[in-house]
Amino acid sequence: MDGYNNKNRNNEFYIQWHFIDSCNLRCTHCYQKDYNHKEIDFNMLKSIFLKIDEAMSKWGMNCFISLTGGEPFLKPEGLFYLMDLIEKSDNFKKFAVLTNGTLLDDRIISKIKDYKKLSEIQVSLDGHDEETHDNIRGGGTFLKAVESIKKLKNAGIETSVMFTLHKKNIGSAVKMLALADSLKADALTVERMTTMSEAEKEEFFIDASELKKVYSDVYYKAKEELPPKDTKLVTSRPLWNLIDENIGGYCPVGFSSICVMHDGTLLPCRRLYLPLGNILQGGLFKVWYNSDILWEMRKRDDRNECSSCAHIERCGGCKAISYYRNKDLNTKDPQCWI
Amino acid sequence: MRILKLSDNVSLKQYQEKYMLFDNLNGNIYKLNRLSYEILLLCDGKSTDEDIVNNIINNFAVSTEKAAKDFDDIINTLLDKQYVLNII
Repeated sequence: MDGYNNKNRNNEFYIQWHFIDSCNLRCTHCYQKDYNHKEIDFNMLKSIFLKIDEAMSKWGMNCFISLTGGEPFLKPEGLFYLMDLIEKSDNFKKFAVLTNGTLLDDRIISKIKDYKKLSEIQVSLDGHDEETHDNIRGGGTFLKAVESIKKLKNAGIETSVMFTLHKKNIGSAVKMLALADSLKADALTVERMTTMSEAEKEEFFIDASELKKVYSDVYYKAKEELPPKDTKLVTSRPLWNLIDENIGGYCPVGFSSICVMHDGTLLPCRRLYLPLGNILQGGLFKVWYNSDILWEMRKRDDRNECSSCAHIERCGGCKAISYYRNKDLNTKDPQCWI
Repeated sequence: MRILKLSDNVSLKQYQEKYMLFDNLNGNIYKLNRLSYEILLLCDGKSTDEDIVNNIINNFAVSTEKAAKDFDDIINTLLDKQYVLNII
């Protein structure tokens, strides 16, 4: 009986922790259906943190964790509590905060600066202008988010922009490059929305041929006009490899990534609402090694429709989008154009 | 006579042509050969060690000696680690 050498500090494990389920906004495309404005349960946060910390310690992995919600700055006391725990643990290499950018003030920004493990604050912008963004996220939110990005950058904090692409903001995609550049954002992610129901599909879904054009336009425009030293276009996710063989990546879910909800429920990712178990009941390994859903997501053989595709090493499609279209994680991504 | 049971803290997995044992408490992964995997599947808290060896002899093309040796090797290792428990 041989042990696999699966303990290596160079290995990175990614966790997206939605530690709060409350939000101050009601964005039209949001996956969140429940907005219980509960107070932060510090005991639960600590219990979940300790389970993650213990797993990373035993695995010997370095954890990169994104803290989000809901809106993480809605309850800054909870966010800073977690940031303090992460900062002090040797098992966490870095962390990011994913926010709508509407609740940051000078006091919060000044406090954030002290965290050495903070890799970035990611602010969502869903349009290149006020009208497009506010139609999705609510009146006044564009100016607040833009102001926050400027303040974060002025404070010397690494700041990126997340643009969630769908039918209602498709015209903004290419223009986001200029906006991100003008804000001196360190990175811009352009990533499509996962439509989780027929109604969402009807309202937001972009056909494969349209998506190809958008990705292509964004990528080549960025290559021509965006100085990489300023704003970097993030192209590490599935389908980008179809544009350029040197970019894109296979979805890490089930290999080196998982999502934790505010109550400890584990999901493959936030956009794939298939509860795998709860980290508070038996820890991470019990779910990681025994979930049939995760084993299904790890299939790279001929049971995966992408297995014979030349791009599989750095693509494989979005399994959440495939699942919601076909109720099968290993079918071809419905937005794949080849 | 022993009655053997796989600990609740470990789990077995066959994935493609790989056979694995997972320690759900400390995250360790162990690579098994097929025979070891089948032996551990039979550690169900009901079968005796004799039942398990006989089952292996009847269902796999192995000699009595090979089945007994492989059984002893894997079970002794796992009893030491408390991954398998003798419940009588």
